[in-house]
Amino acid sequence: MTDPTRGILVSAWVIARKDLAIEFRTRSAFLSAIVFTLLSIVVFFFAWDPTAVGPLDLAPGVLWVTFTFSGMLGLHRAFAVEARDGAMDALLLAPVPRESIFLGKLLANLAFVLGVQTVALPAVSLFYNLPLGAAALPIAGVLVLASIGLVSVGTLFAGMTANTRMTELLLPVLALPFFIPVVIPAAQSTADLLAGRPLADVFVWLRILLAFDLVFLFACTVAFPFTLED
Amino acid sequence: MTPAPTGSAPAPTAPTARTGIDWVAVVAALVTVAAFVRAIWFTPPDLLQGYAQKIMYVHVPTIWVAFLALGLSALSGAFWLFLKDPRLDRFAESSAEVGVVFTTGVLVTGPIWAKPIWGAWWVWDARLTLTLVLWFLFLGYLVLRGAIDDRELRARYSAVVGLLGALLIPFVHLSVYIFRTQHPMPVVANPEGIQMPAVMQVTFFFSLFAFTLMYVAFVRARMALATDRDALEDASTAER
Amino acid sequence: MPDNVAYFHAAYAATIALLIGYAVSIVVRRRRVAQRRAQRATAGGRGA
Repeated sequence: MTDPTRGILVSAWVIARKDLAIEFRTRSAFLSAIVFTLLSIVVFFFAWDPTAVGPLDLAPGVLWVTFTFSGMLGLHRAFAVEARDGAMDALLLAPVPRESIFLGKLLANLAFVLGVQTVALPAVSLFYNLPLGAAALPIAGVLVLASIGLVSVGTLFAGMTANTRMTELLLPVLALPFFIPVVIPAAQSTADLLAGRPLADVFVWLRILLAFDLVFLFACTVAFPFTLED
Repeated sequence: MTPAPTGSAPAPTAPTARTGIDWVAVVAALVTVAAFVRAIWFTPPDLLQGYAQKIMYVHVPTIWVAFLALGLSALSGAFWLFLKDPRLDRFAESSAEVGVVFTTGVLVTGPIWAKPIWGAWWVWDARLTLTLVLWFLFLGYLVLRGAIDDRELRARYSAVVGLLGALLIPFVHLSVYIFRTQHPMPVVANPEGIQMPAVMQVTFFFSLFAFTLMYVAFVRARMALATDRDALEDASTAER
Repeated sequence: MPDNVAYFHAAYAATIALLIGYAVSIVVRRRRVAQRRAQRATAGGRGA
């Protein structure tokens, strides 16, 4: 690994740890996201007619819709935490490459989203009596891939919308179209895996997810410095 | 780091020099009227699909313009990131607004065509679904611009969002396409019929040409509005 | 030949309405900006 690359990753890790440490001290955002996720799953249950739609048909939708919206909830904090006391300016003045600020925030967001999903997936399985079994590991893999895609775009957009007038409304409006090529493969592959299809059948979806992750992780990291003042 | 000269006192925007009639707009309007006249009165309807088939002469060119508008808007934003010329940002803004108007046209003509041909207003076919996402991208872009007052910040964020949006399109297209092949929905007949007789082909391409001219004319007009607006804003702030 | 002329009319009418409506909106907005500039020129004394 080249020296500058290593430098970026090390700095990113430091920033991620700082963000997670701050988050862990209060845990309010994390707990709120978990509660929101659980409540959503319950609301979906009451909106469901089990005689019309089987649990295996509904559950992937529930899992991925709650994933999308609870994922967006946590994205605000990454930059909101710096908004106080002008900490963002201090961060920008520090001798860290701009990209590592973004990657650090991204890693913190990723930890946040994955943390929420470690609660969501068991909850959905429990409430809808899903035969997770052998599908558990592949579905967890899909969750990781989808989370990377979501936080790549979400972190960048959260940083931008934090500087605008309508932050809370603007972030979903901008970001949700970008989550479509994440949710489609994720939900479809989850449905296939729950139905007992072999992993090879869902490779086509996993490839799209992987391609999305690679392209947008790179693109958003490169784009981040452009969103800052020269 | 030496401050960029554009950051402190922006060069005053010269108000648009164009007064009087925009001849490009006049030509575009005339060609469009001619295209519509030809499509409505001088082209025979399809025997299988009836008069509804003629909607294609409007529906497909609007799709073309919608995606052209996205591409050029994103490209213009990219150039702005490196050149910082305000005209590039004004072009990106104008192309996006024209784009959202034409995308609305696609989403209106599409279902009107689909109902008699496919039997339902909306069938989540790959092309219309992609256009729907495009519509949301344009709307998000314009809402973002509306939420930022600072011109430089607005241009910067718009350029980034525009580029990422353009990058998104192939991914949405691929996901929806594979979704459709895995979940085929009933389709009544081959919608376009590539074997169009010559008279219909001429109408089609003439219409395509007319809509492209319309895009140019609309973007020019919209850019003039943006220039005037920026000039007024500059004059107001110069007073303070 | 199926009887769907109504759809054909509706689609063309909608498109024409959309295009004319947008053209009008640009003209109206430009007039508004020009009005405001004229107001400033006469009121404030500073040239546009």
